[in-house]
Amino acid sequence: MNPDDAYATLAAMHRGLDEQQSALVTARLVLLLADALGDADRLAALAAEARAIFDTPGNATDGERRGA
Amino acid sequence: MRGDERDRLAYRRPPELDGKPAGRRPVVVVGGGPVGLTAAADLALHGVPVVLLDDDDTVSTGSRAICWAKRSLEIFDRLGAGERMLTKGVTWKIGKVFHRDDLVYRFDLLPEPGDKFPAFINLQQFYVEQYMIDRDAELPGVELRWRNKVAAIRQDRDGVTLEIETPDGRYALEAEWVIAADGARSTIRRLMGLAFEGQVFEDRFLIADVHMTADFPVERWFWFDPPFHRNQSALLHKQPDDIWRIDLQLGWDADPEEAKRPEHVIPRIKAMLGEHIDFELDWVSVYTFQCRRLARFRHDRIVFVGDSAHQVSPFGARGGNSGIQDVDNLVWKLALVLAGKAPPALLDSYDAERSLANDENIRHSTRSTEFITPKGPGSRLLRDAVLSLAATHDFARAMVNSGRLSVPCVLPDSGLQTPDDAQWDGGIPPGAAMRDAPLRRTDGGDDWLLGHFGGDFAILLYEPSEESLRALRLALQSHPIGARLVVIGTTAPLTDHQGLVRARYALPPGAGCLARPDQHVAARWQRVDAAAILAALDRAACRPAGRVEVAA
Repeated sequence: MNPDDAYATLAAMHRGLDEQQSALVTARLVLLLADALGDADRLAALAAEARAIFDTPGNATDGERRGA
Repeated sequence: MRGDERDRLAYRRPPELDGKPAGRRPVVVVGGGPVGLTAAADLALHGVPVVLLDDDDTVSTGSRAICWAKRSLEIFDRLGAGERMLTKGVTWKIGKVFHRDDLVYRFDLLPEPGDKFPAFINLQQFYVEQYMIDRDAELPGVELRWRNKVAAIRQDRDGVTLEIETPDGRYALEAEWVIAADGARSTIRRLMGLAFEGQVFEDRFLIADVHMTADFPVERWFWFDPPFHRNQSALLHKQPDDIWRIDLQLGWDADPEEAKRPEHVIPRIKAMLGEHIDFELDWVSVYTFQCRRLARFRHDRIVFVGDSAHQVSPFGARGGNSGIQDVDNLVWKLALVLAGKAPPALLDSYDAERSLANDENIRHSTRSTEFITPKGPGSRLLRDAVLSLAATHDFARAMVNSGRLSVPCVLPDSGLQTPDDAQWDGGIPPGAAMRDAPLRRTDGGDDWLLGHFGGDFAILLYEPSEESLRALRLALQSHPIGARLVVIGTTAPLTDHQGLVRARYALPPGAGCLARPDQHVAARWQRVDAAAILAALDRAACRPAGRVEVAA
């Protein structure tokens, strides 16, 4: 997957939508991706990684964040 | 309420107040709700005399628990009250879930015929209580004591002493065992200072029972964010006597007293049902809910059942139904211990088995609650995204959770079940509740499989050879607990005429399974063998193999 293509595809998904509509579309995409992934353990690991920036408070290093 | 039922609920002066102590009772049940009354009937049918204490003298006010699951009905049937409930109740199995104006999906809880009881009936809690009071009155050895309030409880190695307050004064009652079935606000739990921990949900719901003659289908209808009640959920469900249960989410900020007033309730219901429908309000209540449990259900000689032991949200009909299953699991064990045929350790399996079942209920109930009342903008967004995909995507439809409706739990390996020793292709594994199936009797009459099980140990034998039957009879004769043999096959006396016993249990000829008194499979064999059956029977009663008598 070409990274610029992937980014452009995701950016296009939001075009012309307001904040609330964008949020709903993102949530729908997350669900569709979770279904396409089809792996509960990987989903849990990715969800934890997505959340990690808020789980490690204040002075956590980048490395700790990545490892969370 | 009819006059004779009022009479059955009448307070009578306990004989102990006149200096007639009756000695130590085998079992005292505290709490005269559906669970306690069911325990009393089950004990009586096991030949155990029982005194039931309740601080009130009325059946429940309002409909309260209304959805009774197939498994509960099978238990009520074993106790002799199931058919009356089925006749009075509203049978249903179809549920529909709507999001805004759209039908998201439709589910069928019992798509395949061949069970005596339906997936669910709706029946007001007070009917269940009345029918069980009537049943208790028919059974020898049941004494129901209304307006008898437990004021103190203590136990030692030999028994439990209850201090009881009545309108005529206070008396003490001794019991070998106490079953605490006194509900979510359990007095026994409070007197013993036991923690009841879990999660309280910050939301309020309005329940309204309305009387109307309407031709809505007999289905469970659930709405997310309906046009008549924006941003909240709603439920419509039919009960007997033209009463409809309406359940409306109000949100945490609603004032419960204000919300209950007819001038606020009636416009909400009109918005839902339409201006043209005539209805009367029968009962209104505003509730919040919790999911919590005792850490242990057995405290030596005091055993907790139903809401006193565990509490769930109403989504999924897992409150009343799990209490009935607690009783089903406990009473046969208590009866065996009282008879000296099993050690008190058997009662620890009640804790292990029902803990798992109730943890499962709490998990389902918590998840339903998270879906129905999402907390925080992100979880609300996710929920709405699931609903928006549900009509077109199976995986999203499967995530829609308006309450995962009560199904019997497969019991864990509590030490009572014998693990399979062979490869089985499906069937009912050890720990699972037996599934009903139609049978035909020699006289041509229709019969049901489950009617032949329950109350005692029994062995389902599928087309056994004469030789194996003889060997089994001989082996079981000298066993202190024993087991009945139920022979089923393609010929008389009990014919599997639709082949559903064989299909549902995956039993080839010569195979069989051992059923516990609570109609759960304890063990199964592709080829029955007397020695294996005796070992499984001892194991299911927590008896050290080979020992004949066990001190209680």
